[in-house]
Amino acid sequence: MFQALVATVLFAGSVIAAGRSAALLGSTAANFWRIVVATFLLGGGYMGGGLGGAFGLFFLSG
Amino acid sequence: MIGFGLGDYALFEALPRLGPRLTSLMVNCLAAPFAALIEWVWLDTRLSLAQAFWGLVILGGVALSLAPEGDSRTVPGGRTAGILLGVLAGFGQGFGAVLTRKAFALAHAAGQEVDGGTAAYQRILGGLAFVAVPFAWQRLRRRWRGQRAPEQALTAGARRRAWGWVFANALAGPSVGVGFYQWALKTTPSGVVLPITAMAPLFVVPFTYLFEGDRPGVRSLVGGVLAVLGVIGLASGSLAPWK
Repeated sequence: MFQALVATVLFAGSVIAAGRSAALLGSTAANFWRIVVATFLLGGGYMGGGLGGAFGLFFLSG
Repeated sequence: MIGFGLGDYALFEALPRLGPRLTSLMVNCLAAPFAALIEWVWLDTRLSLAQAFWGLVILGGVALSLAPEGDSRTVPGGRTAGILLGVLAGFGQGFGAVLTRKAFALAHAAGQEVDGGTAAYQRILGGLAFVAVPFAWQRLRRRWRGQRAPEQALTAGARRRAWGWVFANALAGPSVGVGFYQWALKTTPSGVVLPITAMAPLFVVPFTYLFEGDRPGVRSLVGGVLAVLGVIGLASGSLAPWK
């Protein structure tokens, strides 16, 4: 349950960070750079998983 | 393309119009009923009376929260556009969740088990492909008009702050936040995890008060609590994992 609480606090905090970055950089740029950074962060940990399986549908869902 | 792409594009456009508190409430609370509705229409999943009830509770709560109440956090004239963008963001999150469930089912049927991190990475690649288009278009248009990019107009200190917020946003949301969420789902029943994470819009309230000085009215707070209760009711049913 602790992990769920941490996730909830992080999700709430991410909205504040989103609002602040959008106010400074503009919505489109803030969103783009956030996804670029997150892609690198996630990619470092999960590239080993490969792109097989239902990649097309996961890609569309994202 | 749909969740991180369309959904988050609309979310970021709604943010300056509605503020973080109302935007978060709309996106988090509308995603679940949209997911239920899309599954009902597309996948022919039976929509129970309880799900329909909780969906109506959510809509009522969100409507109550959004009703004008001397709220100074919204941009004048931007409320209608903000509400429409918030609805679009909720739709994107809900549809993205349904497609993710479908993708997991497809992979499972093919004998492949995809872990949450790999799924998140594949999803964010779709989001990146989507948001790169408006970003590139905006850059090209600015260059054509001889305008500077917003970050070039910032002072060095403001630019550092901006990148700090971008990094914090990327960490708290799609990477570490989702990591903790997946970890929670792995160790705790989703019937416990989903109602907790559904409370995110309520957790936003003290943050917006602290960082933005946004003091919500009583009606807005009651609406928020009602909407979150609706999501908890819906999430406790058959929608897990919808996030």
